Formats: sequence, structure tokens, C-alpha cells
Amino acid sequence: MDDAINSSSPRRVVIDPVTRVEGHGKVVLLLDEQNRVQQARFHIVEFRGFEKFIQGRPYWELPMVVQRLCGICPVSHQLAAGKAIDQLAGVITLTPSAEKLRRLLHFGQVLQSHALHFFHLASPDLLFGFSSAIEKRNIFTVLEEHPDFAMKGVKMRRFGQEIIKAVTGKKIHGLAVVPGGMNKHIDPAEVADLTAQVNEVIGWSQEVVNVARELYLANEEYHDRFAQITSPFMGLVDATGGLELYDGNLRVQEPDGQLFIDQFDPNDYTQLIREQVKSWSYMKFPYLIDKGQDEGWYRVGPLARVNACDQITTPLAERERQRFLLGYTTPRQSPLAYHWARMIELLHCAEAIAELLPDNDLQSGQLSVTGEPRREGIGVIEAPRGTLFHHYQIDDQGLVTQANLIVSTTSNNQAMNESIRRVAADQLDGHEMTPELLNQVEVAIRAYDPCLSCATHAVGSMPLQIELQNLAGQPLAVLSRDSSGNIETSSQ
Amino acid sequence: MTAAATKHDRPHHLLLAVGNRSRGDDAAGPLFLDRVLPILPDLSSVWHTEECYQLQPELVEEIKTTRSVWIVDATQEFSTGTELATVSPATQFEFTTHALSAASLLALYKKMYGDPVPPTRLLKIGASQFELGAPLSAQTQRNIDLAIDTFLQTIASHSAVDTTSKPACTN
Repeated sequence: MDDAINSSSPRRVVIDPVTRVEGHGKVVLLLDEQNRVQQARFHIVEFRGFEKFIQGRPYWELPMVVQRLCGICPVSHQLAAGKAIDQLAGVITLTPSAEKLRRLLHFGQVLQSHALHFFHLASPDLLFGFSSAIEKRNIFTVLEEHPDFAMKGVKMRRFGQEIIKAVTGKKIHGLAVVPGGMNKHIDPAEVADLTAQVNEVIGWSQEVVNVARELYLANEEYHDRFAQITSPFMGLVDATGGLELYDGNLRVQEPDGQLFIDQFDPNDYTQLIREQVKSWSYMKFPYLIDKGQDEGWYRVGPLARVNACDQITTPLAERERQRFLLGYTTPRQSPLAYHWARMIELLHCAEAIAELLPDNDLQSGQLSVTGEPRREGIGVIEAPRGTLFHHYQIDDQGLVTQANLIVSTTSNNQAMNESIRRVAADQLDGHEMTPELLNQVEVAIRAYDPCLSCATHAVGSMPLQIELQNLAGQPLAVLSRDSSGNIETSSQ
Repeated sequence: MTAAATKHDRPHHLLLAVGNRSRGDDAAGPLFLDRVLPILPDLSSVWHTEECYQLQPELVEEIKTTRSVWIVDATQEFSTGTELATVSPATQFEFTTHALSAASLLALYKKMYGDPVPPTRLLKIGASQFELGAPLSAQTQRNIDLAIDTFLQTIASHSAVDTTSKPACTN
């Protein structure tokens, strides 16, 4: 199925690059002789070199080094690596101060990431419709038509970053995580400043959950159907099955709501997940071993977490989770429900921050402990986009000899391809590639909030292009959109 | 809209260094900042500096209290030399990233806070390699030297701490 050479005379439609996702993506649609979409391939060129980049470095430097992997979620990498190096340092249980500081840091990171995605990237699609002009579907129009809403988005993002700065000392490249704990407490003045803001942030979070819910339910049948696929969901849960972003055990929920795996020790993840390599992609394809390569793909991230957990510990978010599932006996499957679930998590983070800030352990108490060093360490957390695995082995000198990272977007790799295929199958009619097709492919991908680059350099405004190719790779027709939003078509 | 801050409310100039230190020439902005900070001791009280991976929407909050903005970033547009340009607010459609262009960042600021938009300069540093783990290229290292010269000459010629009404040069 995945080998174009072996597929039955597929034609190729190329969409390059995909708009408003991190990094550069290219979509290739393989058509059969009847011009039906046989397969979608979402090419992500930036996912390479992670492990090589890390190998040979001292393990205690990992929390700092891995932050450079990603410009959007450096804190997630810092924390996952931090958990792994705790194990390398022989530390199983952190002090209360260290654990609470890390959780506060993580809640701030998830909050700012979710806010950025929803307000900057998702809300234009949801507020103005997938088919509206690209000139309209952007943050500027959101500001024009919904200024209060957009302003809150910017301020929520900033609040999350202020938490990161308070805990780590900097908004980026701050270093607070050390083997076995943290290296500093949070300053009382910063606690006071954050405390003064947090109730307002909770109020804004409630508002934005309402917006996400109402936008989804306003056309629920269409949104349920859009790019819909059916898959298991994976995420961490606490000992009671509650939503857990920083620690906990793995749960995999079947599409019918039954649990495929529960309370699975993430240290044993190699017995649960295997990664498949495909010749056409730099990004691997993880799958559940017991389900096999073809059937074992799964989804992670907000939709997976909110579906799979039994409850959320904070009251307002728990009420929204119950609303999310109201009337459903099985998990919601639509990719567009990610947006709604993402905002429920944003509310949870705001509430959790409010609960943590008065805790004296943030400002005093032992910060780190030591243990008997080990050669192998595994750190697993729920990053904004889903479950994130860091796995390291070190030598006698403490240098990394082997590293394996499964980033969240990788776990959603096959799911994104399947969602694209579903959209394209509904939209593509022969060789007629329309802007509508382009829009809908983008909307489907954006629902997953993929972080494709883990790179940061802005190469400038790139033209958006859909290209239809014959079997020899010769373009038959081109549909492009430039940085001003102008559409051009040409036939070869 | 929030009322625009007065000049009196904006005592600082903002220097934004953009890039990832671990992606070859993408480190040009942060390395520029490392080099500039020690040689601006007398001006440290009026310069706010920030290192960032990308230009993001919340930076409008930093701009709100600044008299002028410098954005220093690597560019793939050329590999040799530097380019200094003034930036005006413009709504652009970035198709590939969460990040904003400098012009879009100012447009966002203008939408949120109205005029005046602080005078803003974009200092581009020529660059060519951006792979994860790649070293800084020798050419970009030389480009950083040029960029520092350009920066220092420009702020000196504009009295350094009061550039609010003067256009930037382009070289």
C-alpha cells in the first residue's frame, strides 16, 4: 500500500508546501487509474538528525541541548530529557519542590502552546470558514472582527511564557532542570505577579472553551464528518485514570471506548510501540506492536488525552470534558475535535497553575536528590501535541551513546496521512485541483497542530503550490498561491 | 484599542535576536547579540534585548513599551554580507509557520495598539546552512562582524538612544 512502485499505476498530485504549520510540508496524493485517491503522503523534511545531534554529549547537558530541537515546544523536550536524566542519575522520586516546579513549568508551556495554535492558526479557519479567502483567514482579520478575543489570545500566550521565564530564568534557553531535580526556586515577587493574573487567565480560558465548543457544535454533523478517521488514542493517565500531563502511566483506548492497554509503565514503551521506516519519509511511523504495522497506528495529543482519561482533576475543565463527551458512548474521532479538546486542556492548565502558585514548595524546600547512576534513562511526558518519548543510553564517562526520540507529531504521522486521504477523496475530482482542496487539506493537517520543523528559521513567505504529475514526474497542471494570497493556475 | 504609549512611557529600545543556536547559520542573530552586549555597557540601561527562536504574536507586548525596535536575523536571501532596512507594518501571509514576519509583527501591533508603531529596523545577516547540529559557516561569521559594524555605526549616527524619528539607512 505504501510503496508507490508496487501500487497500481498511481498518479501523483503534489501539494507543496502546506500553509501555517511549523516547518515545511509537502503533500503527495497518489491516484489510481480511476483518479481515486489511493494514498496520501505528508512529507516532512525537517525530522532528521535528532539522535545524531544528541549522541556524544554529556547526559547532564541534555535538558539544555534538546531545547534547541524545537522553537515551539523547547520546554517539553527539556522536561522529557529531564525525566530521563533523573533515571541516569539514579533518581526515581523527586522532592516535592522539584516536582511542583516542573509541573508549573509544564502547565505554562502547554498553556502558551495551545493559546498560540488556537488564536493564531485555528481560529481563522473556525471563525470564517474553511472556504473563505486566505486574505481573511488569518490573525489580522480575527483582530479586526473579534479584537477582544484576539487580544486575550496574545495575553494568554504571554502569561504562559512568563511562567516559563519565572521557573527557568528565561523564555528560551532557560535551564532549571538538573539531574534529580531543579536548580532554583521561583522568586516570591514572580509568584505574586503571576497570582495577580491567573484568575483573569482562567476566565479567558473559560471563554475560549465556550468559543471552541460553540463553533464546533454550530455545524456538528459536518465537523464530525470532516477528515474523520477511526483510530485508537494514547496518552498518560494518573493512578485513577485521570488526565496527566507530566507523569503517570500509558493508556491506549480503542475506538469503541474499551481500553486496549491501561496503566502501562512508560519505561517499557519499547514493548508497546515500534517504529516503522518508510522510504519516502524522514519521519518514522510508530505503531502498537500487538496490532501490527498496518493496523497499529494511533493518535496522541489533546483529543486522545481528553477522550481517553476518566476525569480531569480541575473542576472547570472536568465540567467541559463532560460536555465534550455528552451524548457520545464512544470517543469523538473527528480531527476537528482536537481544537475543542485543546481548549479544555488550556483551561485545565490555567486552573492547575492557580492551584500550584500558593504552594510554598515552589519557594522553598530541597530541590534535588541523588542516587546510584544508571546507564539507561527514559523520560515520557505529554507535550502539547501528544506523548513525547526521550530514551538515552550512556557510557562510563556519562556520554550519550544511543538516543531515541519519538516526538508527538511522529505518533500522529499516519493519522495525518489518513485524514488527508479522507479529505482528498471527498474533494478531488480527476485532475481538477481547486483552492478548496488546498484549504481543506490544510485544515485537516492543522487540526493536529503538527510541529514539523523543530527548526526556527523563517525563510520568508513561500508560494503555496499544488502540482499534478504524471507517472514520469512531469507536471500536468499547477495551482499556486503566492504570499499575497493570489491564486494562479497553469497547464503544461 | 489601547491608547498608544507616549514617548515618556517608552524609555527603552528593543533588540530582538532571532534564531536557533544549534542550526548552523541560524545562530547568527543570537551570536550577534552575544557580541554586542559587552560593548554596549553604557547603553544597557536603555536597551532591552531578547533572544527568540521566531517572531511570535506576544512580542507586541514588548514593543508596546519601546521607542524603537531592532530585529537581527539570519537570511537565506543572500549568503554574503548584511542588509539593513526599515520595516513598515504589512499584512503578509506566511504559509509555512507559526512565526510572523517583521512586517506582520508590526501590523499585528498596529491592529492591537494603533499608532505610533515604533520605528523598526531589520538587520539581515547572510546565511546558507541551517541543518540541526551544523556549525556556523565561516562566511556567516564574517557577516556577523559586518552586522555589528553596521549596527554600531547606525546607532552612533542616530545618537544611539533617540532614533524614534529618523529613518534607518540601507546598505
